[in-house]
Parts: sequence; structure tokens; C-alpha cells
Amino acid sequence: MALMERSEWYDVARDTEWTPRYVTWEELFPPELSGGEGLPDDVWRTYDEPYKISYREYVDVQRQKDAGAYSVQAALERADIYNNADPAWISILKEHYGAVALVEYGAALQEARFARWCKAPGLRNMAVFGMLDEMRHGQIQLYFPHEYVKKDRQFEWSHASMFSNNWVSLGARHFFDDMLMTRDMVSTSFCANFSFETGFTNLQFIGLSGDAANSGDYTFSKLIQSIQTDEARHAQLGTPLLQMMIENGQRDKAQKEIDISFWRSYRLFTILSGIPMDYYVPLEARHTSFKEFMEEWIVTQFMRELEDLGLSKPWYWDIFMRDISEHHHGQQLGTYSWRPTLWWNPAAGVSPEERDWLEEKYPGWNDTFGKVWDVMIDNFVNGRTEKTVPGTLPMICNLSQLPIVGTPSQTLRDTSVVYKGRRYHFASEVDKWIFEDNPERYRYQKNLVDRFLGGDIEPADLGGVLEYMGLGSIGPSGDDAHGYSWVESYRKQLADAG
Amino acid sequence: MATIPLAANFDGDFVLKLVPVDSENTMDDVAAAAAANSVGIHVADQPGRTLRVKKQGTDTPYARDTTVADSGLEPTECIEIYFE
Amino acid sequence: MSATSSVSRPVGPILQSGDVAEAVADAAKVDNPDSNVEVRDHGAYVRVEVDGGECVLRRATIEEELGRPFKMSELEIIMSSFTGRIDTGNDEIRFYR
Repeated sequence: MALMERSEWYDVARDTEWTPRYVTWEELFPPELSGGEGLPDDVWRTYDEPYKISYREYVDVQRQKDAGAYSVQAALERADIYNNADPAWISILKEHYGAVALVEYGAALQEARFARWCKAPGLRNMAVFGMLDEMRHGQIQLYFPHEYVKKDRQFEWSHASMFSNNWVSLGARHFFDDMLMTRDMVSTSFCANFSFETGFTNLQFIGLSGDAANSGDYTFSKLIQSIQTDEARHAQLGTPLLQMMIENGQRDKAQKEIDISFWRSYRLFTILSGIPMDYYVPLEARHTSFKEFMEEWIVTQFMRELEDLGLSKPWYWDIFMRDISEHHHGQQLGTYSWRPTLWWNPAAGVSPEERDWLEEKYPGWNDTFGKVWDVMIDNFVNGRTEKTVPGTLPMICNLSQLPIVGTPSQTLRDTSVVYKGRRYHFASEVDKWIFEDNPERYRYQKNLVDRFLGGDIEPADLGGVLEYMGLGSIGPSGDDAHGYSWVESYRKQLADAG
Repeated sequence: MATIPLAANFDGDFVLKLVPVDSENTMDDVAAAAAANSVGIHVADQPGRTLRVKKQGTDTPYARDTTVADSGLEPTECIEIYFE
Repeated sequence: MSATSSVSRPVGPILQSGDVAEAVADAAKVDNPDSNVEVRDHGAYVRVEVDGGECVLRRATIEEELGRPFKMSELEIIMSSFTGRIDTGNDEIRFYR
């Protein structure tokens, strides 16, 4: 028997709408959870999801996706990537899984909230698939690193990081709580589906897959692209909502939420994608810089989507365009300097050849960030390793939770405000703008430095901080990915010169 | 006598650092405390030159014998330290 | 590698490299005869960009290029991203601005 065309029955099957009799419409969809205040009631039924799929198709396609990813993993297990890949590549896996795997379950909860609270029946239906997508991402990204746990305890962080007070986890939790968990459905969709998924996840899940394939890790390459095929579908949930807002006179509100979530996503991805792409990916496999990936996926592709909808570039566009050549270099110096606070082993990525690459991709690098590395390299070469880890904490942004960095002698500065008697510090004007737009939302959160100064961390020294972050108990502290072998070429230079 | 944490922006460094000082410390003491976390760690030394301290956003450095208490600096305010 | 495309108002899928991606890229040329179609190989992924703000892909054309039956929904298995808006049907999928 021939099946009916999906388009012939789809609208009837997905439209699980009814008229509530025991509760009011407002009780069924409270504004603080459902959002969309000021939009006419009859607009929700007109929501038409652009990316349609039936449950039958969903199950069939997802089964094939899983079969593809798991079979590559099984087939390549004997290739023993752990022992055969560059150690810096293994660090990328550790950073990725620790930062991403558990968060996917949070995203499943976010999609589940859409399925319950969205007033548009079409979106509720697609959000159920989105929820199942995110559960798949959580499961598969816990399963894949699990084979490495027996070889290396730092992989424990894949499951543990989000339950810890590691500073990277504090930053990730602040971000995801703000973007995914604590806004009404419509606002969450702009932050999560639009800025985060239509924009930035492409960087890590498609951009990095190229680096993975070049590095010989076909398992990871296949895995993350497989995940992104789900994102490409459920990221579409937000676009019709944006159109509804714009058509009903709420363009400015939508623009502001995009501006907030775009910046927050960008800064998070400087740590997740920026550092690995420019410093960890082995040089011979590194064909595209973080900045070039940003230009491809964000500056070109995402901005086109934004402008097609009638929205504008964020107000801080000039700051952003300068920042993509700078910020992640400061974060690389910071994460490497405070490497005992990481759950992975960072690569320095500053051998003479790598410095040439950095200077080519980021003209001026040697005269700015490179000068800081010169001092560190001098310490390594001369055996002053105790001077290569700072004895104090960096100042940390009260919004992004990331260290406040800048280009040496150029853009490093504090941006602070006093609100209700407490001084808050920010890593940029944009972070401060986001805070000041809604200070009551953010004011109670304590960053790592607030906790340190407030006496939450005992003893108040680096050892106490590491213990507070779970380092040494969940898994070992980070140390140089290559056991400092890269210092040899500089030692040789020094010997040759002497 | 009270500990006052400050945010130190040491010229040439890439990151603001938390530097606890005492309210009775002079600006020379403050500069030395900031230097201990930057010079020879992330910033090259410049032997023979004097370190000066100013509040971020001001043009004139504090007198070298001004104390933290007299400066009016509040906890975690940002100071800039540089070789004169 | 250039981040900017030479085609104007490009739309189309971004696909995991492989047989299906090649078939889809070839199908894009057949199904959009009046448009400039650019296929950019980034190693692990392929960008198919059709200019003029519309890209149509027909199931029958992909089957012909692939030499086997193909369900339109199977495209999702290798489609990691796309540019433009999407309109999904059983026999045709359309990207547009």
C-alpha cells in the first residue's frame, strides 16, 4: 500500500491543539514561561515550522545517524587514537567532552520546556524531536570518551565537570543557565536556537570536524558532524518566532536578545573553539585559523541569516570584529599559565614554526602576545619552572566568568560598575552592557574571585583553589600536553647563540 | 592595618591580576607587590627603572610614598603599574 | 581559503563529504540550470552554494546521480548545516532567501 505524502496529513497530525476548559489560556501558558507577551493570540496557530519531519522519518533517520557514528567508532577503536594521535589532539577531546556532554542534557530540558510552554502547536511538536536530539547528544558524547577513562583519568571530567566548581564549569553554567534555562520560551529560542545553534555551534561541530579529520581522528570528526545535523534541523525553530516578533512591532526586543546572546556565545567559543583551533590542533593539520572559521560561519553566514530577517548587526560590531583577532590569544596565555586549573593538558602552541603561523594569521602577534610568551619561554629554557605559573588569581568577569584579558599595552583594561554597594568587573564594554540591562538578574552570582575573597575557598592559596575546583580528586590537574618537549628548540637556539 | 585586594594592570601584561595589599603600604610597596606577579613571569624586567602606580583612568601617578589608605582606593579597584 | 563566496545571495546545503554529498552537489547543478552553482570542498565538509537566492534539489535527480533509491529525509543524515531558509518536501527540498 502506498503511503500518503507527508504534506497531505502533516498539518492534521502535528496540530495537537485543543481549547482548555478547566484552566484559562493564561494559566495554561503563563507569560513568564511562555513569553511572547503583546503578540496577538491568533498568531500562534499560524506558526509554520520550515523544517518538517514526521516521527516515522525521524526515527528512521536518527537510527541511521547513530549507526554511522557508532560503526565508525567501533571500526576505528583498534586504530588507537589515544596513543597514536598528537597529545594536543587528545587535549581537545578532553576539553570538548568536559565542556559539552552534560550540557546537552540541559539542552534536552530546554527543548522539553518548549514542548510544554510554547503557544505554537507546530513548534511544540518539533521541540519534542529537539529534546530527543539533545538526549542523543548527551548519551553519545558520554559513551565515546568512556573508552578513554581507563587510559587517562582526565577523561573523568567528561561526566564530572558540570558538577564541579572548576572555573570553566562556572563559566559554562552561568552561560547555559542564562541562555537556555531561565528565560521565557520565546527569548530562550532566540538565544539557543538562533544565536547559539544557527550561529556558533557550527564553529565547533563542523569547523573542528575538519581539523579532526586532518588529525586522523575520523571518529570525532564523524561524531560532531552527526550531532550538527540534528542542530541544523531544530535550530530552525527560532526563525518563524523572530519573524512573528518583527511583524508585530517587537523588532527592537528581538534585536536586543540577539545582541546579548550573540556576544555571550562568542566569548564562550573563544575558549571552546578559539584556543584549540589556533594552538592545539597539530600544525600540519591546521589549515584554517579560528578567525577564518569565524569569518566563514559567523561574519558571513550567520550575519546573512540575520540581515535576511530584517535584523541588524549587533551595536558592538566594531568591537567584535577587532576582538576575534585578539581575545582568544589572551585566553590561551591565561589557560596555559594557570594550567593546573584545567582538566586537560594544554598545548603551548608556540614553537618557532607555530609562531610563524600565528604571525601570518594574526599580524602583530609576535609584538604583543608573543612578548609575554618570550618571558615564559625564557623561564622554561632556564629551568625557572616555578615562575611559569602565577602565584595569584586573575581578575574574572562577573558576566562571562572568564579572566579579564587584553592585548598587552593596548586593550587590557578593567570595566567596572558599582551596583547596590558591590563592585562588578567586566571583560568588555559589551559584558557590562548586558549586566546593566538587567542587573537584578545577575547581581547575586559570585565569580571565582568573589568566592576567594569572601572566604569560601580554604586555604586561600593556589592549593585551596585547585581543591575547590575538584582538581586532584575528580582527575589530575593539567600540565603541558607535550611534556615541554617544544622547549627543546628554544634551548638549542640559546645553546647555538651562546 | 587592613588587607585591600586590588586589580593590577601591569603594563605589558595580558591579564588583570588580583593583588592583595595592606592599607598602610606605600605605592612603592604596591608596585612591588604587583611586580612580583608580573615581572619575570609575564613581563620582561627593565632594571634600573622605577615603577609608578596610577588609578585606571587618571593621567598622573600617585606620589611614591602615598599609602593605600590615603589614596582612597577601594577594594578591587583597578590600578595601572608601569616602568617610568 | 576564502571566507566570502563569489556567488551572490548564496543558498544551499553544507554536507559531510562522501558519495551522497557528491551526488547532491551534482544534482544541484542539474536542478538549478540557470544559476551559478559553486561547490567548495573543505575536506570534512562540502559547501554547495547556488546564487540568486534559490536552490532546488529534487529526489529524482539525486537518485539518478546516486544510482539508487533515495528518500528526501535521508539528506538530513549528512546535512550538518545550510545557508538560507529551508522548505522540506517529500520529492523536493528548497533553500531560499
